[in-house]
Amino acid sequence: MKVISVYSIKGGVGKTAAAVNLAFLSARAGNRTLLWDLDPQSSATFYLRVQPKVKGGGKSLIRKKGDVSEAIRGTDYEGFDLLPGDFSYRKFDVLLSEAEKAAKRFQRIKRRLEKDYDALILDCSPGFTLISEVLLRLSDLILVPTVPTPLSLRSLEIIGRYFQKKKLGSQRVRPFFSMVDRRKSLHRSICEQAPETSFHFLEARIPYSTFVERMGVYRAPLPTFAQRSRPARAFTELWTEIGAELNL
Amino acid sequence: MDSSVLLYELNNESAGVIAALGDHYRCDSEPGTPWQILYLDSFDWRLFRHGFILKWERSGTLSLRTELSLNAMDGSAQRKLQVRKNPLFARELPSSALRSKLERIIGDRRLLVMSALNLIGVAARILDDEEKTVARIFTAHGTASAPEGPSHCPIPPLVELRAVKGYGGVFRELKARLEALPEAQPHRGSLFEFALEAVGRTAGDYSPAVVVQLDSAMPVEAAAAVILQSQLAIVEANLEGVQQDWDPEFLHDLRVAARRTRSLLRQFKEVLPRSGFKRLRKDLRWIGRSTGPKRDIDVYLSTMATYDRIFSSEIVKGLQPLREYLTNRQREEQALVAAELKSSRFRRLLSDWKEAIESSGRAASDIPIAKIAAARIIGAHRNILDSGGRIGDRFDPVQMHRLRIACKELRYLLEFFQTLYGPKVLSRLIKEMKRLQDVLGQINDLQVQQENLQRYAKAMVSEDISKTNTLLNMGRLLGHFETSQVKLFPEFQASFRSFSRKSLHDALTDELFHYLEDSL
Repeated sequence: MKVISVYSIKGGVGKTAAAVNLAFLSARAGNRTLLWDLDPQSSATFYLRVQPKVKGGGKSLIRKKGDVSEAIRGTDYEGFDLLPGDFSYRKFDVLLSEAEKAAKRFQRIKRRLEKDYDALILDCSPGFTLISEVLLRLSDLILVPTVPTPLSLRSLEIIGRYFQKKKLGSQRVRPFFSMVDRRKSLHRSICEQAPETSFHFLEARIPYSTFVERMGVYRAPLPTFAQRSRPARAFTELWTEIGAELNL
Repeated sequence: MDSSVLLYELNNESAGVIAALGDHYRCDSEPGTPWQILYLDSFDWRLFRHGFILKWERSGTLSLRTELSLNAMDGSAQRKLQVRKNPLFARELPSSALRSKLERIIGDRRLLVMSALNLIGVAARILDDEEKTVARIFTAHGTASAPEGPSHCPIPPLVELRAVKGYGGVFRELKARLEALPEAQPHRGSLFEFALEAVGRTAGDYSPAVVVQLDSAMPVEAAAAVILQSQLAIVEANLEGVQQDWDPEFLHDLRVAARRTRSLLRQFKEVLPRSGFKRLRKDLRWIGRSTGPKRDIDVYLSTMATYDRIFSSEIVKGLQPLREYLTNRQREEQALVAAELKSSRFRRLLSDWKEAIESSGRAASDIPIAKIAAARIIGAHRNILDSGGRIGDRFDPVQMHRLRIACKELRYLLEFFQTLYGPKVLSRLIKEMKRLQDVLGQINDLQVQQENLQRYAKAMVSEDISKTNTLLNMGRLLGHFETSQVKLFPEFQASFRSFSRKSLHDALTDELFHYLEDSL
């Protein structure tokens, strides 16, 4: 099972849209895919029409004898399951105050899921937390949606320093441009000049589009209602790059 | 069986089922959805025997979905690929986990359609208040077909109920509602079993192994009739595949069944009725000989596919004319084989075979099979010891070929009769036999390849299709085969020493000796 984290320290960069669409495309490519909505806002769960509730809360998932599979819900799409979001996830850091303990618990969850899934996609909550550090360590690939603005690039630099400090292995980090507005010259120029960063950017660029916003209206992954749209094609290109890198 | 999928047969039209459920649930249904499912496996059910079901599906109208999926029967694993056509071989698929898995199990075997369902019906999603899918129902009617079975035979209307993970409560409710409908009868198996049943097949219904149940007191003629019948069934099951050249293994199994039968008739010629058997033996020899060149080329071409791993790319490239020559010869030989199997002589062979089964069944001597088979096994074992003993320390391909034939005779006897005797000794003997036969088989393959290569070279020169470079590379191949053959000799000596050790011989004699007594 390959673990892919979709991560950003900033909110509103298209992280959840990317996680949902990539999970859908992974399943459509034949991988048994689980998306874990770790963001307490539970937006991915909302997109997929599932109740944002885990019986017993996040505590039940990470406790020693908890069975994570009981909380999993099938989505409308075959081969694509969801571990729903829950408001209580915000307390993960309090519940698992020690890094070692947290790492053990999440390792156990990963092992439990390994026989049932080929791909586990994590829609991580924004910011630097103990849990995100543990999850990033478990990941085979860390995707960072990056809006082509100076502030977003600065966030990327901060992530770089954070990875260096925590020895998280920056070679697994793959930023990609998200919410690219071709009408804005700033977006165009940042995308065209290779950003000065230690990370290797993925080629695909997700355009800014109302189609992505409409995911909240249709409550479905983009390729199911706007398959030929530019952002849907861009997500497909993004998945092709990721799939090739992870042999999925 | 996957407990999250249930199947029901209906005794009338299926349309009413969705309507009946629609009163209780919110449904999103797509009527008139065509659904084609092809269940694929190798001729000898290798995927099924490894616990997998491979299916190719095409469904939908507006958005057509075509998908190949490999499912573990216990539901523990699944691999999918979007492919427009059902593949004939695993190698046709794009690089993927599914392709790798298939290649590991079936190698280069052809994927045959074991059963095809052509359905049309209503695909419905059961929705909750958020319009989220919480279960799936498909009601359909249509036909089933198989290349070797009935074509397009109608099947009863059916309903498939699929659970969505995490919504078990709805699934159980729907199950209860469906089972309360008088027109719905639960089907005990899966859609896979349903599809096979519809064309008169069951999964794993073909195996090239000898599967006969004999009783030790059975008269020898009756036992022979049972074995003859089992081998005739193998020949008949493979005929269509050989004629259509679906996979080289069809011809292989047909030839093995013919060889086993010849061996049986030879071993028992003194005790079986004489009439008709001589001609049958002669015709079995004829079919073996007339299909031999095709089999040799099949083996050669499949070996050539491995040359990439053994030889440099320069040599492999230089052998391309040989590959082309053999591919053309393969087509010619296939046409000859297909013609032989349609000939009056082959029809006569089948009719003699059936007559042999009937006449053996009619004859009733008082010789029990366990007695005569024990004598033949001991005799065949002694033959191997004599034959192998003559080889000594010198590599002699002719003597080794004789030994190989002697081994086959014993192997066939053990395959036919091992269930009559204590398994302990015979299983030890079979284990040693396999080891010996493996190395003899490798040495023989290399010998046959050398002889054939010389023959092909002569033919290519006489047909003026060889180049000096090709002939030089063929010469390199000859050298490689010869060296490999000699390298295997010490392994042969070790396996023969192990096979011929006194303790094994004594155990075999002790085990079988009392069957030779008249008291049985």
